Amino acid sequence: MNDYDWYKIVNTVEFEATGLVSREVEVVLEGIGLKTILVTKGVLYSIVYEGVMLSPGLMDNNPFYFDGYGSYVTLAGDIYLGIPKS
Amino acid sequence: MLNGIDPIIIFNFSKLLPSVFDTLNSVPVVAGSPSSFPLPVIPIYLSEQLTGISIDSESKNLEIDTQVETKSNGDAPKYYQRGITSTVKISMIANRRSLGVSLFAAMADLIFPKVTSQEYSVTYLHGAITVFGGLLHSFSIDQTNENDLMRINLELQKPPTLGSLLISTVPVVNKTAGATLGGT
Repeated sequence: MNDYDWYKIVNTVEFEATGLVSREVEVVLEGIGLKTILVTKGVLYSIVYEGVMLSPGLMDNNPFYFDGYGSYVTLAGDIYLGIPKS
Repeated sequence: MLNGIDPIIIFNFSKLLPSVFDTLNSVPVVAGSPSSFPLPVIPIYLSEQLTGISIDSESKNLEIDTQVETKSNGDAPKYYQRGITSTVKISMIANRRSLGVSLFAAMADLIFPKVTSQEYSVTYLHGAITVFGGLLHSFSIDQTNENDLMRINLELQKPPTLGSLLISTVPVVNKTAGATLGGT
């Protein structure tokens, strides 16, 4: 986890309250810039960043790493996106 | 050409996405911001050789309403001002058979139904006279039987600074160190 910069994208409890299945979130990531991230709710919560789908908790992997990015969900339901440190 | 440099006018269109509340009763769709989808831009190069249009005159106008309130006690009057319009007027001439005239007329017809939804903007670039993301204030094409020239009059309204407002509502997410999250 220390090789990545982690950015909090969404909280699952707040997302649950919207009643939505998916939502695009537009944020400015520190050191990166304006990005659009898709948050989707299925059996697990997933985030899609730069075309890569990240599902923290999938196959009991938390943090979940795939295609150079990471994702992590805390006990409080905060989902973080992990981007490798440059 | 005016001032020796050919200007360009760019028509930008976008499509409003359905709102969350319209779709919650049916299959949910992705709801996000911004709420419009940009469509490909349509540039028209205002050159006699390319599109057959040349700029005849340009003007930039600011109209401000000033109200003066004089005091009954003879004190200095108070001035109240409000902005009415900030427009750029462009007058063009073209041959009636030019491609540019047909394009202009088609663009105006495309814009008209979108004026309320604001799914369009017009950018005009010509040296010191520039309008980025402007709104169409008026448009006309006139032709007489004296010659085969057409006169195109275009007036663009400078837009409010929507760009900066949009950025200020986008949240900034700071980095968090991995060690503080507690994972391994």
